[in-house]
Amino acid sequence: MRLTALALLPVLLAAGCATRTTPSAPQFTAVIHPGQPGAPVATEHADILSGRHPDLYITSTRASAHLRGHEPHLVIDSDAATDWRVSGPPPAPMVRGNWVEIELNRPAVIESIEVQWLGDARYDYRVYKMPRDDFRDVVREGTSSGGDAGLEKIQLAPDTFTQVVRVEFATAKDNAPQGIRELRINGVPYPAGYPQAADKFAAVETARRILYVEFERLPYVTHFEPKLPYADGGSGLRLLPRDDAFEGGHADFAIAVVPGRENWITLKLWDGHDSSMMTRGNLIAVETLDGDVRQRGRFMLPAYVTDQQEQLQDWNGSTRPRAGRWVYAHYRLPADTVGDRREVKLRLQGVGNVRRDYPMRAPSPTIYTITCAPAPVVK
Amino acid sequence: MRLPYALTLALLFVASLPASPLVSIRLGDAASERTVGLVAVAAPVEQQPDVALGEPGRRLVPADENSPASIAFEAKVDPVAQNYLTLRIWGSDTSWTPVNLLLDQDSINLGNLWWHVTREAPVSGRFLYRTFPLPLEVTKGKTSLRLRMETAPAPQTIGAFRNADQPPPKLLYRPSFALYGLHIHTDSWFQPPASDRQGPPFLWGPPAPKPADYPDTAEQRLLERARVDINRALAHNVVRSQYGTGHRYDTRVLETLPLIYHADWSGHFQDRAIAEKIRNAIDVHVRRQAAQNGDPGNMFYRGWGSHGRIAHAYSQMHDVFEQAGWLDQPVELQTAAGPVTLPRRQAYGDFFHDAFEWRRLDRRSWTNQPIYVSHTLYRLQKALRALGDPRALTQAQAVGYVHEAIGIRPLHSRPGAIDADAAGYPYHLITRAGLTREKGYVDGYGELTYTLVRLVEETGDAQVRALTEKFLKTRSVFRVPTNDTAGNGTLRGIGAISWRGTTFPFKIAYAGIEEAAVLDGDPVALRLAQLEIAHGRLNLLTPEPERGPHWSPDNSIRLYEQYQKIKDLPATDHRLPTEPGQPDFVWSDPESGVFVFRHGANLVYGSFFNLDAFNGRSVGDRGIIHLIRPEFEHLVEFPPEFAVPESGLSVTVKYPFGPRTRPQTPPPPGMKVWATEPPDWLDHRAGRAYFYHVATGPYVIAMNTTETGTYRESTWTLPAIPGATRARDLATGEIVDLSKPLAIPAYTTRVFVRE
Repeated sequence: MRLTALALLPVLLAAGCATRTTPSAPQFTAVIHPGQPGAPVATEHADILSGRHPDLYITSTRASAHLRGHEPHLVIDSDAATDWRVSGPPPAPMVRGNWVEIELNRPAVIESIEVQWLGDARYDYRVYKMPRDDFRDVVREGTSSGGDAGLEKIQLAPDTFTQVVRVEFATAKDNAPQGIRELRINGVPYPAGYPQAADKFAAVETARRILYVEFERLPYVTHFEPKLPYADGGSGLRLLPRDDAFEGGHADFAIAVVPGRENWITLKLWDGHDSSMMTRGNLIAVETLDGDVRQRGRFMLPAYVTDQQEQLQDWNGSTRPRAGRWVYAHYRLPADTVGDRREVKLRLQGVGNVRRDYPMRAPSPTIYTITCAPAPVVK
Repeated sequence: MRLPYALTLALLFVASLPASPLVSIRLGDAASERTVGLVAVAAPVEQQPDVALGEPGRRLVPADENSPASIAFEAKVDPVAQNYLTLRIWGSDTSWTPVNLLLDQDSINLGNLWWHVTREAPVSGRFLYRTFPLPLEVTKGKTSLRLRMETAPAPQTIGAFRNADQPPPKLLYRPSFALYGLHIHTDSWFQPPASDRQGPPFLWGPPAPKPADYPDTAEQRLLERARVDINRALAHNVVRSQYGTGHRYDTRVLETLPLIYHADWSGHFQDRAIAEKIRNAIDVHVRRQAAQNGDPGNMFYRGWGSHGRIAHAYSQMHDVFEQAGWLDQPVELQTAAGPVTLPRRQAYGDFFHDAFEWRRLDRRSWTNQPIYVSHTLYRLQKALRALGDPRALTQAQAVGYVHEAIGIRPLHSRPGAIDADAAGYPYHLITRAGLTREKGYVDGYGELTYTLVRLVEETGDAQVRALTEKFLKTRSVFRVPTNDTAGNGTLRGIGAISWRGTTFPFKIAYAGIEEAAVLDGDPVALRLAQLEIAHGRLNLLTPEPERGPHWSPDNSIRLYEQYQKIKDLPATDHRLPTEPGQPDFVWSDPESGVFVFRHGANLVYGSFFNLDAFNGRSVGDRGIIHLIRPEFEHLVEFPPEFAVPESGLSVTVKYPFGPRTRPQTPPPPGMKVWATEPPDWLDHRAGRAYFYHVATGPYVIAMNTTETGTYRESTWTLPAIPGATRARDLATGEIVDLSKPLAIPAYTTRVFVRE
């Protein structure tokens, strides 16, 4: 559905959008809050995200090894059909069993965990409270009950205070596939504290870190870090991937412009990733909606992207932007796309990557405001 | 005194006809040759009663392979107007080689008079006229020139298939075609003089007869051929993996084996040994890729289709693999990190996924290549979905690559594609009119329905089907009635106006049986198929299919099955526009600069762009027309009149006779210049003028190439054509006065007949 300009105007004003046109163009600014109720935006395959960040939540998973397509973060995605899976013993110099670790955003007292094991076999397991491989922090060991028992509760030692929980098990004799379907840390609010359970599209960033086993150093272990896809408060609009199309959802709107000159559309986004959507993909393009059927209109990627980076000290002494931050994407609307109009119809289109040659397979960053002005708006 | 209307029209038509030639001689006629001081070097006169209607002519016959043969002559020229040289050639000649035209005194090369690839007689039993424009740079201010025509060195085997890793062929001087007449004139439309005898007018010959060893029915012959290829396929060693070009046969046979397995007539229906062979062959490829650090780019030479064929083989056998429990069996892989044992499902999934991720980063730019690559991408995803691999794209997502390759969506695999999108000038690989988008019309590489129908079959996608039907309909305009060398009626494709490949004559082409079987109910496909059958083309099939470089055993197997689907369908009423007895028509593709029209006995194929030294980087200087008439054919090169907005950009080419500078069109908004480096130089749009026209003989052809809905959209004016006070629009019948300027709207072609 597309909204006409005239139809949008009262809605625009009623929704609290500041739309102001003055002869002195540089002061002009039009703003739309697409996540607010009644926002003048027509969407398909998009959703609204709002909420506050929980006090305790999972920030990272990693494992001794995994088969492709069976990464360790799949144990916290609330989907028992997916799993973390290994086959055979862990890579040298690890000498005992395979393991998976869950890291929280802060240390907390963990009384118990729940595990849904892969397959019917019984597992001889140990639970550790520290990310170490030196036998000293075992807080429980035992044998699973076997069979398809669903989530199996494991009571930990009293007063287990930790930020990391490791579950390790002995390797099957025949190197049969082993693993875990689901893992819960009791005390972590469910599903809010499990980003992927709270939102099936929650992003998972990866980071490679060194791992020491006793005094031997493994080249790397990959951390899988699920991210909360929304800001801590407020509400925003998110474009979703589609199974039935190459590109993702879209949001159509009309916005006031200064006629006869270049205008800029700026999107204020919450990005759960530590990388830019321009390199990562699953980004937002702007299309004009005034072309013919074959050529819907002009298509624009951000001319540039600015963000508020909170630098995170990394393990190797470098820094990287902390995931979860405000990002501003600026799109140039050339003068000839505006012409003599005072309002243009635009579409925010979810696309897979900057080349538009890969399907959109994850949601876009969440859009909190759409601004139009004669120059990029940077806050 | 008032003249009768019919007489007035006749006088006007005569007035529009070209003036008498400046030079007009008969080669081999000593008296005629003396008038131009002709000097022949290794160019003897030949005359045979059954060749060229018994007329004499001269053939350039080099004394050896390392020296040219030539004729030189004095040519009167017009000092102001564009001059043209026209040759009269016997169309049944079998010796075709490049012939350069030079200024005799200082050997300045003015161009090649025969740059087409000619493998057989182009115009059987009739004359062919060949017209070439003399550069204005050399005729300006002059009234006569001494010209020389000289054989040029050429590859020993013209157009032979050669892999990129093979050395280029040696260039040799070879005998030319014989020349029977030579004319200099100032209108590109050369009207042969009444004294030129012509061969008998074209009539469709009888169907090709069945040879003595032919079975009772075509179906039986097709079955024979299919069985030969089945046996070849079964005897072929597919359980191997190699980089070189031999992998094409291996993987083509591999994707054929499931056809044999599933065909209840094959004699090997559900033969478990075939299934095991397929499994073992895929295993070998999977192991080799894993051993190469999982890098699919090192697997196969070029690698456009091989992974896709392996994936297609798997998809056709997935149910068998599942039922046999093979997907859960362990496969041991030797990787750079050491041995790894994976369930076959995982190992295959990694193989297909990695191949997809590698291949999607280079989907090529020429139309046929993205189609092949997208076919592979689609097949890889189909196999991944069958495996239940979580990395698989959905059907709708995977078919997106096919949509890009066949022009439903803009192609984004080119650098600059996103800029072009932003500028509102997306790059669709198939034009709105249904031609492959290259620099201009293309013959062999534009014949893509055989691939498109497989995409229709494998994707089941309605948009792919609709596009394919439209594409085939467009292609059917480029099918002309002709006779083969044995005199049997047939259809040929059009090659003479192709900007690359440029075979003349193009091969016998229908594109009907497979298309009709897949596009069931499509009238164009059915007409082509029924003509192919009616012309007895299946009678020419030998019991053993040829094993050329493109051989695949699935062709004969599929053809047998497809023929059974269509052989009993009722005759369609549809007729190709080029068939005898059909009305006048005009067809054009402004995005390619191509026009086709029929006017009475004249069937005209033309292009405002042909491969010239500007190569599409700027507006070019060579258009081409192929006129087909019942009594002769005519190839005309001409410099098109054009118009473009000022861009400040241009390209200069240094010809032997001097530099020429031609403008580039304005780049799309936001782009300051057109890319000139590969692969972006493929974007011929820098060199497609906004407006072209040519006034040639009785015709005025005007083409506005600007696309509606783009920044180029604009109306252009056909300038006044002196004397053309009354002209009829061939498509609409409208009478217009072309002696006054006429507005031509965007994306419009008009063909006028001067009356």
